[in-house]
Amino acid sequence: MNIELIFQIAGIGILTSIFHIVLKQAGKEEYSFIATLAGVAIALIMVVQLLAELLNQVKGVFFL
Amino acid sequence: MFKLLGAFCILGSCGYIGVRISSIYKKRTEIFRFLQNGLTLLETEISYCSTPLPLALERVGKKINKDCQPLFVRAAAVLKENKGVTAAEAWQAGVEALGHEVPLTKEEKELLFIFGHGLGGSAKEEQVKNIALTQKQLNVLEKAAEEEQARNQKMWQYLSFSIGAVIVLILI
Repeated sequence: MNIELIFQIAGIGILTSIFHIVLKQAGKEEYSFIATLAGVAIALIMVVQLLAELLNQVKGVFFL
Repeated sequence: MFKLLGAFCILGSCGYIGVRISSIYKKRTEIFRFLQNGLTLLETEISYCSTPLPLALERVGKKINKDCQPLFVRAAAVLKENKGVTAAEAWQAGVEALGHEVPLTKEEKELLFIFGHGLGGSAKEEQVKNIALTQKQLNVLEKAAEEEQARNQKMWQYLSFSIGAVIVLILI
């Protein structure tokens, strides 16, 4: 398990919040929502791969 | 080492694009301000000196700010080169030339086209009135452009750097 991925996801989270704030201040609420959604989706794609790995390992433990 | 270099390149280029985009907003505000100046100069040429239109446009084009120049210079050139072309058509060509320099919306172009229709086709007083009316409308456009600039300039600068940072983060 590499620690880099955690920092990567944390960075994406921080930048997504920056996107949200900047776009909201510029009066573009709809875009800020889309940007937040995109950030969540990118982070989720990263996490889902790890989750799949975890499930496989759990399966391996029970010889399934 | 190469990763770091690539990251700086991406960040730099994204930031540069943002600065370029935000500079367009500034340029638009300036264009409307200088167009008002240009129309004042044109008014002087028409009402005080009674200069023929091609010459008047050329003189204004020489005096005015560089960004607005294409409008007057192109209109003067079209009027001089083509016989039988109306002032409105020449002005339209000038507006199109200005549109290549700075992005103008349809309404803004329309306003300038309408001004062109009153150009050179009536008595001095009518033209002066037309110029005054257009200046007023340009003033309104300038205010709107200023507001737009205040809202969007900062946003594009921050946003472009953040987009660069996200790309770097995903790629690393």
